[in-house]
Amino acid sequence: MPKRVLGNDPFERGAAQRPEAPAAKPAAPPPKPAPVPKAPLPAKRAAAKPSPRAPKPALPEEVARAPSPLEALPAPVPPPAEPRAPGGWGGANVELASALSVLRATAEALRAGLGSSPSVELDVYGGDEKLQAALGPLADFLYTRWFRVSVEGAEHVPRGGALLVANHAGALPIDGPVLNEVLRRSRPDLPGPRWLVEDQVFYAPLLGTLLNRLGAVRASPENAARLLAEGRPVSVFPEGIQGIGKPFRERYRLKRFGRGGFVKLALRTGVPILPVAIVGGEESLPLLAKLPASFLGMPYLPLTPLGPIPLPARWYVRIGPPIPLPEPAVGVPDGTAALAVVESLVERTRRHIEEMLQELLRARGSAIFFGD
Amino acid sequence: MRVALTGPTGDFGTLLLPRLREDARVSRIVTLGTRGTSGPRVVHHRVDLTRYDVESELVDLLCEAEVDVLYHLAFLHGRTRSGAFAHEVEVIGTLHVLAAAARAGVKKLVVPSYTLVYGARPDNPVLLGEDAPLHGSAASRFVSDRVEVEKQVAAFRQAHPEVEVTVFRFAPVLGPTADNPATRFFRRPLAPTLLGFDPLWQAVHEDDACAALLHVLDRPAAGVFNVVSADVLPLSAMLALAGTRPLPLPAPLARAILRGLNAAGITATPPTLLDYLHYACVADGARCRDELGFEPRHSAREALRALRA
Repeated sequence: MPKRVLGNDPFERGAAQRPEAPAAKPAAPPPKPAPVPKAPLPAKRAAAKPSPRAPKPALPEEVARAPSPLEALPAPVPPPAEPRAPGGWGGANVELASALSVLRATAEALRAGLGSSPSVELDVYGGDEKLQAALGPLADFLYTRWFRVSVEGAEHVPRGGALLVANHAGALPIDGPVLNEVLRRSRPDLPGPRWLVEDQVFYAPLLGTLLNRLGAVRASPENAARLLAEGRPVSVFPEGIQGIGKPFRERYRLKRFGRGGFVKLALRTGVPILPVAIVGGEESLPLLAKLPASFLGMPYLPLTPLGPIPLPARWYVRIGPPIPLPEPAVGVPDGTAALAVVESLVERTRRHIEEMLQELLRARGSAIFFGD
Repeated sequence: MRVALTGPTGDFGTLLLPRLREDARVSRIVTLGTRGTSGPRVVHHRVDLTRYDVESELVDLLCEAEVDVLYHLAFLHGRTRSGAFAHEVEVIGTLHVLAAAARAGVKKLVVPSYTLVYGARPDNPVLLGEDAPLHGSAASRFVSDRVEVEKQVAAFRQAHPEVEVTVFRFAPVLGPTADNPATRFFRRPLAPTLLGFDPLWQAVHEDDACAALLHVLDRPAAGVFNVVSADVLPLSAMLALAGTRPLPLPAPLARAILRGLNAAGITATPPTLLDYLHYACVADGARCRDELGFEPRHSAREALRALRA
């Protein structure tokens, strides 16, 4: 078995394997805009990016004004350069305008979660297209500038419905909306993708309501079958609450894959299962602790560095080719023999995701927050 | 066609009776209730469903009138003086009516119900089909009585396959004249909601509820049918359309407050009813549309606006 690569990151003390750059290790300041740790990086990365390009992810101003994730990181480095330097004054105005639209969209999202933006056009699943359009600037900002999502294998998603099975990561389940956005952007030819969320998230106050308006559907076989019958790609996270409830030191280690509901669903409906590996969620929202929150009707309240604001880790999404299903593809499994079929398919999917995760983590190396 | 109604002065009765009077298909209307009705072709008989010997009386009246269709509408949707009385009228009354209908050889029976009988539960699917179990809402008299009525009707359908029984499960019926727990909730100036929750709701305009009941008058329509608006609205939008200000409270606090108010005798609302503000209870209207060819003409939006008309 290949050695686990957990990535080299500012949260891990000592355990990181980074042979190339041993200088910045124990209690190291995070790889901040300061270009110091960049020099000893492998040649491919150094070549790909001319180092004097000022602050790499040019942060729009509102992020600097709001409690900025960068500021809150340990050992803050003074802001290296004027963020508006590259664009000049015209660029600054554009930046300001887009920053304002991001802020407005954030407020809109909050209102939707609280149920105080009475929108009257929902689909039967509770999705609100108008809200999604209003949140466009925020989604755009998070997707292209904050998480800088890179996608591989989107061409594997077939028409006519598919079950995308992904690892679940991060203290808050934002991998669902990110994967959904991946599908929406890279496969606009498919009907609106949706993702399923576990009950504990779906009925978390505010969060559940907001996710529902953004397109999340409560995980249940009936709901999934209905979505698949409409020919939509449906993303599932079979680890469920276990996946987002694991401490940061166990990041990217897959938990038990439920009871194989996704396999039974695929066998019953005849849609293909596509394994998906998502890297970036754990560093964006590392789970530091679980606070008791039964007074809110929740199992726990996750403690993250900046609350609901994710850290700007880079995200990598890899969609694998379909897992081959047994020959009579459509059929309701029953009996013990069928149970074994389900088990083996669950295991095959799990292993495939595991392998893709390890590959992504190895390829990422130390470029968690920065780098190309 | 001869039509009989129980509860002609009730919620559905007052809606349906004027339309039946104008309906050309109807030759005679027999109303059975405690309060009188009048009009051409209308014959009223004073019948008290809470009396122990009402069944034989009903049999006589139904036989004598040679009724083709019986609408059982004797349900109390308005404020009731006592839950025990309401239970007597609705549940025991239905027992009597069903037994009498079987003995009198009524060919067709129509009973209204509500999608509330499915119960607002965390594990509800996005759209509840007619075959979904009726979980109701345990402590609520209003909902539990309706579930019990439905169970009686279901047992009756099994025992008497020769009688054509139609059950309509309506989404909350809203309109200018309707008076039921849902309209009372949406007519309040200030309505409690649960902070951070915004479940999906449906509604049906009172005219559409009435049209559904009339639709099956001369059509074969055995079975259970959800009658719901095509659109689904979040509770927040329902309140905004109704002109009601929401008062969001954290869910555990809202339940505690309600329990306190109930204990003090100020309210008599079981905390389990808050489930309808917490979880969705949205039904699938496909069967009614496909098998009966009936679709509500008004959207939920229009039904809510009609509330204030």
